[in-house]
Amino acid sequence: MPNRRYMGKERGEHEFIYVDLLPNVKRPRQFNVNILYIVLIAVAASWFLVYMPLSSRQETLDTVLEQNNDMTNQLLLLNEEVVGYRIEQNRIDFMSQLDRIEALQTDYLDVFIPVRDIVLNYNGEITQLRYDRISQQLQLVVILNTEFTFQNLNLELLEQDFITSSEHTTPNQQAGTVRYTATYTIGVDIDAE
Amino acid sequence: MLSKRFNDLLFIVILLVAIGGVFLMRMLLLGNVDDRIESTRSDNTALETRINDITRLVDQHGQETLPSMAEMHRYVPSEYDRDQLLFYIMAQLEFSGISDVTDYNRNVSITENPAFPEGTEFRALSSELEAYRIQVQFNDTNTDTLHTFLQQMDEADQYFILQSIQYQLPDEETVTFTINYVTFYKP
Repeated sequence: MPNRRYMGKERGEHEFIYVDLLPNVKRPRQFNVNILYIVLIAVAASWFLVYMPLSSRQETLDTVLEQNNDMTNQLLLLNEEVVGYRIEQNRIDFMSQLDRIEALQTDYLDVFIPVRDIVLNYNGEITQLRYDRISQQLQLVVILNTEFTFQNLNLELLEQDFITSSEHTTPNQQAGTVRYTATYTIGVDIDAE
Repeated sequence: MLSKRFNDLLFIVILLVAIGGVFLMRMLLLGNVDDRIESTRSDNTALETRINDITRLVDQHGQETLPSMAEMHRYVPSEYDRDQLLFYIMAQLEFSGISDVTDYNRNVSITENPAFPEGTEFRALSSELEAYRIQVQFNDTNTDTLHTFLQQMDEADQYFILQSIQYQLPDEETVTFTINYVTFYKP
């Protein structure tokens, strides 16, 4: 159908009806420049927001993977070396446990006999003993003839290499005798040479 | 024909969708690569630790000849046999002169998994190995037999760790000696 449009009366002289006699055909859609903007913006955003950081991270990933590969190869070589030397972890662990147990062993008599000899030198007597490996302590109840010799005995005990500490309780006179009793608590260094 | 206002609105919407798509792509791609980097770095750290451990192991034990397991089990046996252990301790008491026929009133008891104070080497070892406490008690009038027994136990191949000794020497009376040993087994 032809288009009819009323053109109006601009000067008041002419009045006509515009009749478009051209057939009403579908014309191609006009190119929308906005699409171009969107594509350009999307490409630019992809470049700055995706491609550039991705490329930098890809480089990092390559470096890290390369290191991983090198280390995996190094580990393989080391494992071959371990097999070559016949190094067995369970034997090493067991050996280490044996060393630790051996370190716990103490020669009690090497500690007790020198202490007993010192006490005997003071004409003393050990009437009670308690040795504890865990606390590394030797507890002795000692009887001496005079009160002041307890301090001398203590000083002599402290001079020993294997004794780290020594202290005694206040001497008490035994009932019905002229002898005194005190308890010594002696710290023993079991590793002393 | 679309109105200009609608056209502008559509432009903004499509633009926002496009930018949103770019951000989504960025998030997915970079997130994936970041995860791989992180995971590989973590693997590398573990590998580095392992390499250092093995290198140290090779440096320490490369030239060393360790005794065989069988030889090491002489000191810490693999199989615990209560009767065998009791028999062994009884035998050491006999060798030390603490006979069953005389009036020593000897007694041996074994405690499995004994408790040790926190933070001690005894405690640490008992968590790695099987620990047993052997309590030996006997009566005598002097300390000579005790010392002989201690020496006898020191000569054993198996490790018997002297944990404690306790006694009291009243005048002219028999004394009860209490000795605690700890021994270990590695199953």
